[in-house]
Amino acid sequence: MDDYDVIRQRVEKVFREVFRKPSLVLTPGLSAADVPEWTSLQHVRLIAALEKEFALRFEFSELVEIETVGDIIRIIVQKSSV
Amino acid sequence: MKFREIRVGELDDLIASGWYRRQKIIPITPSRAISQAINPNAYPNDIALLMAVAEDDSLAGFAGILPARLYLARAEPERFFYNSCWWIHPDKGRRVSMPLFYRMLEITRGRMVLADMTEHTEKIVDGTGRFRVQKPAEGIYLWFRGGAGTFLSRKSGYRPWVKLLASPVDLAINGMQYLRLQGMQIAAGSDTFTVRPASVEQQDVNEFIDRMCAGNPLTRRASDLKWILRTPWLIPCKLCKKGTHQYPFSWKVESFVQHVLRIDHNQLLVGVAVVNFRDGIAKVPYLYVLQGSEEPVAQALLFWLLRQPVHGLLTWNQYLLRELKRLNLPAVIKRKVYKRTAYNLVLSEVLDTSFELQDGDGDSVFT
Repeated sequence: MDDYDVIRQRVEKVFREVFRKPSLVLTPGLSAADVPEWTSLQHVRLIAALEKEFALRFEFSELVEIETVGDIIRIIVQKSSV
Repeated sequence: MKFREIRVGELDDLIASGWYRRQKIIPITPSRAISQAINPNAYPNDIALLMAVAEDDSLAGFAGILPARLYLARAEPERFFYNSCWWIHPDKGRRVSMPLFYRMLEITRGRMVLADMTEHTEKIVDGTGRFRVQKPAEGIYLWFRGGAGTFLSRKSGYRPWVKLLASPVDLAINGMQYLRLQGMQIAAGSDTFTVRPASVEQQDVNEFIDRMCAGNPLTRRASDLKWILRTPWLIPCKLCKKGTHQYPFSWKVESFVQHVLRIDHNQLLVGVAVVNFRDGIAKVPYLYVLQGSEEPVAQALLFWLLRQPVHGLLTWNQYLLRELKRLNLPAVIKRKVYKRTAYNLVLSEVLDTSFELQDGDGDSVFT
């Protein structure tokens, strides 16, 4: 399992906890439009939970880029490799 | 999605722009914009408003920043910022809540206070791990007269017939309450504390306010009150123009009146209060009291309120709460209310954990 897969699994775990959906399966194209629970306020909780899980801080410019799960994983992979 | 930042010096232009006129939901009302444009604690280059604008040119979300001053002992006042609003469109704004929030933190360099959050927002703010959330302050929402007419009229969009329909109920309640309250005032004995209208422009009032603020890092000084009292954010509906704009926060009301009161005892100024009447409910955004006079000042103010054309009081002020409890004021309706405050961890380095916010701190004093 490479870094990407490990990160994807950890991101999935965070999503399931925040949205309280244990069976949620993440795909790179999944967006807020596909998950009814992914409201604006839940988005704040999600980002905070991801920051805690990966011990990192997102930048404003990165947050603006986030549209899909794929964007989140890509940014975390980039930040983790620095 | 585009993110726009509006500086204090650009607020006038924003409310005069074609883009603003085209919006169904507006990010700031003209009265708030005018007030913030002359905020004595702000510089023209300070960012006052962050907006996320969707592809169709409408608002997806916005957040407001209100510069204020922090008065620390033996130091020049420092800057900090209240978050004055944070609104997200339920559909268009799903992705913008966090960028707006983070950008606010960047702009304020983490020196931000959230002074009046809902329970839901409190949980989320706490979850970011960047704020110290204070234990919710317990206050009271109390009706000492029947106000069903005003209440129902507000709920129905200020239709006058609703008020008329509820008037017999209010009349009956008020008859009984009159007798109960009258008895209480007689029992309280003669009043040696006088409550009179005043102005923050009066030198003794002005100096008293600033003197009583010592040791309270966030409490508004007299210079702030001059500005606040000149530029309330609420418009009484009689003055409202028919328009298509909507604003998600307090804006139009049936009535809004501000009072500055001085409380004297044997010709000595012992208290100054800023009191707002909004749609029949009194609020006391600021109460400055000489040490040792807290109880009689609170009592004098409460008895003054009972003689005013209001039917209730909403307060978190500790002196008023203590006095209300002691007097056991007969109430038509009484319920507990909570005020939730959080401040950024950066600010927590300079703020004592025991500091107390007054009811008007944040932007509540304007509304």
